[in-house]
Amino acid sequence: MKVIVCFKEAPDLERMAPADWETDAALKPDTRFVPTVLNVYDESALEMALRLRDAARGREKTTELIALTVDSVSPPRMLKNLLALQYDRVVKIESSLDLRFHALAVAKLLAAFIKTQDDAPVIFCGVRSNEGDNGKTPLLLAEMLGIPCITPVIDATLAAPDESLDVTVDIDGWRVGQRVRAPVVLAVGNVAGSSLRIPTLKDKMRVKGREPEMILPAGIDVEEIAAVMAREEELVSLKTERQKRDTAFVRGQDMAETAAIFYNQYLKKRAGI
Amino acid sequence: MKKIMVFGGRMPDIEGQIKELNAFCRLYLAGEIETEAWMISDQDLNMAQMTVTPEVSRIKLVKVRNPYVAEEYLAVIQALYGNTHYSPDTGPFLLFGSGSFVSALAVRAAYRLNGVSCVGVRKLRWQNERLLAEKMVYSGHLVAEFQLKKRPCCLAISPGFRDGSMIQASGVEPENFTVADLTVAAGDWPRTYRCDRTIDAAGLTAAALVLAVGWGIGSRENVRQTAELALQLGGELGGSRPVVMNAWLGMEQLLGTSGAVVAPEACLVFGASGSAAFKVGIEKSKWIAAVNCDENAPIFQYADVAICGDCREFISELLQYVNREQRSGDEIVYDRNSTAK
Ligand SMILES: Cc1cc2nc3c(=O)[nH]c(=O)nc-3n(C[C@H](O)[C@H](O)[C@H](O)COP(=O)(O)OP(=O)(O)OC[C@H]3O[C@@H](n4cnc5c(N)ncnc54)[C@H](O)[C@@H]3O)c2cc1C
Ligand SMILES: Nc1ncnc2c1ncn2[C@@H]1O[C@H](COP(=O)(O)O)[C@@H](O)[C@H]1O
Repeated sequence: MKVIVCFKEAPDLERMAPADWETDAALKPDTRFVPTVLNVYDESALEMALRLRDAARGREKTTELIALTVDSVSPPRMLKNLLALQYDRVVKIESSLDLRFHALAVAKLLAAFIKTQDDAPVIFCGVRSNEGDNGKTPLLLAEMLGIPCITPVIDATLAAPDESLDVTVDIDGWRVGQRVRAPVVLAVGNVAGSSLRIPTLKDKMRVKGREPEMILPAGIDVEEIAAVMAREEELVSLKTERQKRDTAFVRGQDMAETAAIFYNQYLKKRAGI
Repeated sequence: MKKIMVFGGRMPDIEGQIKELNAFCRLYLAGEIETEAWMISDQDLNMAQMTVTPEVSRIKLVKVRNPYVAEEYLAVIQALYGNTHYSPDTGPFLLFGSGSFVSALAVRAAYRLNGVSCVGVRKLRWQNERLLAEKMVYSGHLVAEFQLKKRPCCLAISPGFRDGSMIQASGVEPENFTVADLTVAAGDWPRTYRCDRTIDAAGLTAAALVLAVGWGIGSRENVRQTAELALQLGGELGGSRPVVMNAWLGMEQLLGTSGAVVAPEACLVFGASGSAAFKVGIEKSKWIAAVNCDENAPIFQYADVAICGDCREFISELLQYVNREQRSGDEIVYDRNSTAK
């Protein structure tokens, strides 16, 4: 079975100072001073794929794991970590376009790579990514490849004995379970306990000397993509929204008094208590 | 101009979609706009009980085979849309609710119909003939406006639109359509299928009082104590992402951009830093009180009442106080010396 995980790294936005949110002429806040982290959903997707591989071990068929990203910025540390976690291939498609809000272009670049693979893959994505919060890439990828897309996935396990997967989705108050086969795109949502495992020193030593693959978009006219992007939609403004409330601090002499003041002066009159 | 409201899934989700889309349209797409409603479901929808929108002129009903198999819904949308060509200034708009299933339909429908899509739209306006859609980006830190240049324009709205009326469209007979070919992309897909009702966030989103816990709550045990407080006060409990990811609360209790958006009379926040993504979930509350041990926590920026200190101690004191008060029935006049410390 071939499993491809599409992931993205983005600046850790919680570490931004309020002043950093000012945008420049290109409508970009300055994120250079904060560390880069994995998109939270992609982290779950990367871990889910590893668990599938673990579960498939000991069976006759092998699982090939590919981690795939379209990027211009990310430091090699995370890519190397993925090799250490035994992703068979870690591929970075290099692009200099500003793709923050252009899921269509990202999906095109991902699809072009995926089409070069011989076997039908199971493709994992996250449901949404920073900085664009587009919520589109896996859906467009599935459309371009002409394959189904399931979202938001909360669990995917190997179904014995063939290579089907049992996929669970939480849709607005319904839990849907279905058995599917590759090719399929699975967009991973909020999954409890799905942090990406950390490679040990031994894991890292084992892949010493191996490097992630950096490739240029194959058979794709990047200029053409940029032109298509401009025809469809355009970012016209990007702003912070400040709406400060008048905050009253409640301070008693100790916590018991604070709680009592809070209850009697504030809470009691609200919410019909 | 024309707008098509696309409702998909099952009851009661469809009812929720009707309400939120009506609220959205009343604000941003009202007036002289021809309006259709497409209702796609595997259930037999009882239109006599269903009240759509005031200005709707046609209601099209289509039945699919499986609940929540997007490929079937997309086949229906393509068939209903047909080969009609609209000029850019006549729209049309295809409008979808905020749920994950219908939002995904918006994006894929736009691709198939050669239009443009936007997910999480919270405002729509025209400026010099340009259509501008506003949404939150950068995990809720920034607000972006996009000019959408193609049609059809498939929009999925952001969660949190409420109070949309359910007024019966007078004299509009629903028309039943069948779509012949519902075969989905990959032959035998899906191979087995099961769909069960789970707990949803409805209790949380409708509550008048919400208690929200963040990572600072510290332990599962403390979350349990907060649940007890919620019970005493008659409120519902929600949490931030780290809390649900650690399974201290269920995923349906997640508040924020990726979870529920609540708008209660009062919201009490314990040990949450107040990140932008979390803020989206609670900022519509009429009144917010926050407890955090860090005086500079961002949560205090948008709280009406702030308590700087250990939230676990505060919860335990408040719970004791409430219990005492409820036992005595009268208001207790706080007497420092009577509390054993
Ligand atoms: C794409 C994306 C989507 C996201 N969606 C969501 C979402 O929907 N909802 C969401 O919540 N998050 C979401 N997040 C995560 C978000 O960015 C924050 O990481 C998260 O909200 C932080 O949760 P927290 O405030 O509980 O934890 P922290 O940020 O760790 O804050 C803990 C707070 O508790 C305080 N504290 C510690 N101990 C105590 C104590 N004893 N008493 C009082 N206070 C104490 C600390 O001062 C601190 O302010 C998302 C992130 C991304 C990237
Ligand atoms: N640059 C990228 N490289 C690889 N995968 C991406 C990239 N951008 C988005 N994705 C995938 O698409 C998902 C949704 O992203 P988005 O549509 O940008 O919200 C992410 O969780 C990733 O799985």
